[in-house]
Amino acid sequence: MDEAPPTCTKCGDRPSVFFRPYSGERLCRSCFRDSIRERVEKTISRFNMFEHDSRIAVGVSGGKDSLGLLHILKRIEEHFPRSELVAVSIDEGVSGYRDEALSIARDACSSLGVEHVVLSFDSLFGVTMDEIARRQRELGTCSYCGVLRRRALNEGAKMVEADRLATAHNLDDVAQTALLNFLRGDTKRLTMMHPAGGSLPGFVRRVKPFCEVPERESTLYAYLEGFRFQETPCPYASEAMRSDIRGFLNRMEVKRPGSKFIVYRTALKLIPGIETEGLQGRCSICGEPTPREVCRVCQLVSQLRGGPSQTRCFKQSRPG
Amino acid sequence: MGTFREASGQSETVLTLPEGANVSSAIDALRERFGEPFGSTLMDPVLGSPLPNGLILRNGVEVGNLRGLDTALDDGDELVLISVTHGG
Repeated sequence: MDEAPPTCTKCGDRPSVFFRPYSGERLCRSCFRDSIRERVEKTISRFNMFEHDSRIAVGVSGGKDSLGLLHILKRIEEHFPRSELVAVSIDEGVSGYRDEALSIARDACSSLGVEHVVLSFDSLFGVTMDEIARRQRELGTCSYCGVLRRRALNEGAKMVEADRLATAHNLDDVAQTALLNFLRGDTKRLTMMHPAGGSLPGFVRRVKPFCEVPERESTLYAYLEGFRFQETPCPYASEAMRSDIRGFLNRMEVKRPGSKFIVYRTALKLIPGIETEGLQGRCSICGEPTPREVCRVCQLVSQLRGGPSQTRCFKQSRPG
Repeated sequence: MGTFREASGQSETVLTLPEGANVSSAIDALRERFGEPFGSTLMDPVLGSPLPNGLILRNGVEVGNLRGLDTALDDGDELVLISVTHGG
């Protein structure tokens, strides 16, 4: 028999639609949406992510998380007349998959009246993910995509003269990254998950306002807001270790609610501060900041192109 | 919705279930109807449950707010399945 859901524990008035196992809250549609917006606002405030006059580049892939972040930042930005938002999308060159996402991103920006800039791997690095996937290579496709996309987003943020780059990494993403780096013993990379980013020369400060929103809740928020969902999975999604960790954390969360928050908060305690040491050097090819003689982007691009002499540095290949 | 739609090849379907059916039996019927890759996209291979990978709503209410997979279904109920783990 059908049974009525319990009353919302927040407003005490409307029927609840969602149970939050790690807090015990039962929330109606309205209180659930408010709770996500409030959590993002608190995260921004806690980590001092923005100034009142920040020009914020928002990384918008067209997925549910980035659409949610864009909508929430747009609402917040309206209260700060001197701040500005610009959406930056990266076209990695994955036929079918990215086409759908870019179309969703374009429509969302248009309906919100947000300026939208698209940069492609092809124009920046002279190579697409479809081409990388077809080539003989040392690493999995996600390793190339991650390194190149990070650089591309930074390049996009610089291009639109933003002083912040907001990405929609959610709680699941940061908890996975934390565990991944624990298991690899890579404490230096652990700093990269910090939601507040760092003020490193050559990098637009990168912040993660969605880092305390679990992926399930980001999904429900997107559904309740009526966002169009991307249907095509990335054909190259093959990062085996992250996939194992994702599965493990999702199971832990079902069995022991709050596990993802514990991993995230423990990782934050272990990060002593954003390290700037070692990033003062410049890549001998593209001139971007790096602790190495040649940055990771130029290393990967040159491997793909068969040697440093054939490297097409993104700065040299930028149109105009 | 999301990648579940791609995996099943359909955006919606109508199920005829026996008296006393619940969310779990509806999931079983969907897996039988759509086969692979729908089943492996939906189900966690260790827990044998769709809960880690998807949000399931009955008539707009997430089933975790009801009786989970044991939530009873009535004639005319609508289930919405949304993939959580893909397409961020």
